[in-house]
Amino acid sequence: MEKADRRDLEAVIAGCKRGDSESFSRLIDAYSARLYGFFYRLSRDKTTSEDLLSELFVKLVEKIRHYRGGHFDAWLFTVANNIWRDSLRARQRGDKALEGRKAQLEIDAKKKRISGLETDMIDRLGTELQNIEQDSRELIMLRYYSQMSFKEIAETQGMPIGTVLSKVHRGLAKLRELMVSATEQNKDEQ
Amino acid sequence: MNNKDENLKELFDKFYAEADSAKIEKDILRGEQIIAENPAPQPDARLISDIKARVNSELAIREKRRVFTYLRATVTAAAAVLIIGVTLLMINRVERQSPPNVAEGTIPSGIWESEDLMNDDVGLAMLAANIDAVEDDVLAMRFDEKSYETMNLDDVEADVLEISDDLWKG
Repeated sequence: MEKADRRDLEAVIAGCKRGDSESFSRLIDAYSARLYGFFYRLSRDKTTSEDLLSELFVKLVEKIRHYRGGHFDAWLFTVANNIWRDSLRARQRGDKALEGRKAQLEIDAKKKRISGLETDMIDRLGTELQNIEQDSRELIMLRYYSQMSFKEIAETQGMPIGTVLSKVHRGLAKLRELMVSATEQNKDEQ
Repeated sequence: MNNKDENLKELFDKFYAEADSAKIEKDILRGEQIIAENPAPQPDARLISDIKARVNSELAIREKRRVFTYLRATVTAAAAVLIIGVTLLMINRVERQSPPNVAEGTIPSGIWESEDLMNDDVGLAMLAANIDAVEDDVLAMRFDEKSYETMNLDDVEADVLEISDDLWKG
């Protein structure tokens, strides 16, 4: 990030801490796309991503006072990841019907793939990401969307850096393998 | 520091052998390239506008809460100052008053302030005179046998009873 951008961000954060509506508006404009992408890649669901993004910014009205400097993106995405985990736990506890819905979505996606129609509309990356271990997926998404370094991820997640490296590497290697395999399968089907 | 600033090779060299380190770096960069090539959908304008409205409403609630907290603190402080002030005023007023004296209210001020009670209190003076008279009679009876014989004992008894009555009447 350029120096001017950093100063600008600091001014926006200071405004948010004062409860300035305009500063919040600028913060939402600056981070919505990345945060939405982060939630979408983890949940693979548009409505869930919208709800989580909305919940995050509403929570920030209170939480931003606790930000004490440092890499803001790392702090913000750590809050986002905690919100995601909370929602995941809530879903795992209460919503058994989700399993049925997930299975139905997978069947629908498979049908579309087999028929060879609307290939571009299928979120292939989203599908293959579901085949990666959950903690690896979270770390990969945190790194990609928050642009945190491995050291920062290790610190914010309370993990040894070697573990983070190993999980991200294993997850990305598997993702690449799955994507290549899916592309070849798609070619064969066509 | 963000991930664009970090030296991956240097980092991987710390954890893996040199040959493995190069391969791991390549795997990670290729994997991230795949994610970049398959962008997630973007939030639509309606969602952003809804979020801004929700945030503004939350800010308004927070501001109201802040003003209410401020007012409550001010009113509480003012009430505390008022209570302390009134309490101090009352303590001060009580201290200025002389201590209550029950005897002073029931005894006439002339007698209360007297230096010579035997003369100033008529009742007490009469009582003392009667006691003296009875003492005289008793002495007369003791030393004068004739008088003793002729003296009416009922009169002495009546005198004693009268004195006793007067004493209890006050």
